[in-house]
Amino acid sequence: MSSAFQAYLTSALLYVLLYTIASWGLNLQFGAAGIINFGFIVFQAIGAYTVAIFSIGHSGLVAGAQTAFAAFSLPFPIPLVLAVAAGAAASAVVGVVVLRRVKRDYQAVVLFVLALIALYVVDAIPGFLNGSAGLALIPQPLAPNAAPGAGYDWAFLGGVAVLAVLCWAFVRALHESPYGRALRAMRENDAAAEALGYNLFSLRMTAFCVGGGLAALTGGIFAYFLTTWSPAGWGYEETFWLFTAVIVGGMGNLGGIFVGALVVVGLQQAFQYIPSVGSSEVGVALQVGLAALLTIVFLWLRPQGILPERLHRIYGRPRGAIEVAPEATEEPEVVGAHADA
Amino acid sequence: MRTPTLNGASATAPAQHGDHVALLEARHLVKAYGGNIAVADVSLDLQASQILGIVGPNGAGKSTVGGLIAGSVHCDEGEVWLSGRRIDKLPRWQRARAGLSRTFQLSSEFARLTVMENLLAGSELREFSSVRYGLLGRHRWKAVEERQVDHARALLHEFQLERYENEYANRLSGGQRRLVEIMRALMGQPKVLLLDEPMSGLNERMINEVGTHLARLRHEGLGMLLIEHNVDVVGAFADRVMALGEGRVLASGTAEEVMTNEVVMNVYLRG
Repeated sequence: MSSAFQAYLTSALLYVLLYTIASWGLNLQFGAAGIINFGFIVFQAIGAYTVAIFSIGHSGLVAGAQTAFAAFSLPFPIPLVLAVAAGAAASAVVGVVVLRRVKRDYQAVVLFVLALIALYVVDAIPGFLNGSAGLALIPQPLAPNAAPGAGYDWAFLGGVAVLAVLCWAFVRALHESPYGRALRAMRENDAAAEALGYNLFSLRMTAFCVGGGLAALTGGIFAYFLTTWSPAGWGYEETFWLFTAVIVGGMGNLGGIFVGALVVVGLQQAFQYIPSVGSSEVGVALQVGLAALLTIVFLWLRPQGILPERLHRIYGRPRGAIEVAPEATEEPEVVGAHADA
Repeated sequence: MRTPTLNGASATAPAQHGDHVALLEARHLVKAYGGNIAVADVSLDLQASQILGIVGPNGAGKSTVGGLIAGSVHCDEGEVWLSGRRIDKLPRWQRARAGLSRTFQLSSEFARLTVMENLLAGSELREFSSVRYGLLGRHRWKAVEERQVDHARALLHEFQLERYENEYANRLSGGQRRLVEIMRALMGQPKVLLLDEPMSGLNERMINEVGTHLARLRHEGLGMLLIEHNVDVVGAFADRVMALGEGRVLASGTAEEVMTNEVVMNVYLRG
């Protein structure tokens, strides 16, 4: 296998894993808690920039002739831990405003606008995070030199695969617990869930923060792997790719979301082999359009996704043959005698 | 300290009947939307092992009264007491945890949760519905869940729905979904159950079946507020009845007293 192909393969597999982890975070917000977070990518960017700021150091800024409001040189994995904390903390701040005061449909609009504002702010203020050029020369964790080669890429991929398994165990534990059940109940009927004693704000906030933390984790890993991060990498369309992975794969099914991530990364890779039409913007528009079309087709024809959310049986008790009684539609008439105890 | 009576004057403590504090008491509830008064000075009290029916034509303010008590509608004025504790300043979820459960006018089952999960969602497992318990407290909630599963299975047996335990709730019939809602509310072992038109859309057989279950729950000590459009249903199952019209109490007493009240009859004939 040539080193170029190895680099391509490890890169593609890494994207699948990171899209999967990020989509699990989005699924916790959207699939379980019912929060439509169209600004999800911002939290991934927060993670990436946090890793950059805390690992690039002043020497990195100088070497790359770049500017940032701060720069530190902390050893791995401290920047990544800080990235997760920053993503969760930013989610908490945004959540206090958006989840408490704004109703569900409008939350989606507000979060989408937030993503646009964040992008334009970072883009427009070069002294903040080096503007549209972004931050480069982010040191790779535990790398022996600046170009560690294919062996390092495979080791990096292996590390991310282990992390993905840990994330799967983490998200699955939440899904299978009373917390996960409460989230799904809230998704189905929030008024009824509240009437049963659930604090909806608390449930939404925690799902939002955990999802934001997972997004930031993937952003941090992207920054480490790519060694650069700029506004071009976190446009709002990236959020829609993740929504596509969740909807196509199967909202609420962690394995299905992995399949969704495979589909999304496969599509993105396939576009590289399609002859370009017009400018690069046309190519991006076609990609996003196809993702949107795929999402619409699935929502229309198979809303449960490729692998639907599984039936949560308690203790695997045998399933009884279902006999659905006919719907009662007639108006009730006079009822019989007083049904006393 | 004065003791208030049904529709009585204001007082500083919950209503008492003999030595018993009223299970639920609402005093002088008022709600207006702009200049339109939806509820005007409605008071009521409910004892344990009692079904209080609230009837009235469309727009009488029945569901608004229910909402004011449950917390889904904010009171402009008035107080709500549950077992001697004032709850009208509490948010909905805290009222539920205080012991006030409710069902809704429209079916509100958790459609893509199984019947068993619907019931568990209503149980004390809600105390463990946090990230902390999800990740680290399995040893604590698992034992509680096992107990609650047994409790849920007992309820499913009583309501003759045990065969649907692992079916999605939206696959049941309308009447069965109503029963699931009631069972789900009961899983939290409430002191008071507020039923907002639980019989709507049901046929006579299902109405009698639901009514039989309500009678059994009353016998077990539960206090129930039965909000119904259908006066025959309330007459059949409620111990006391309150008739509302244009947000005001028109009459209260036994079903027969209320239904033969001239003002009530006029309102129903108009409605």
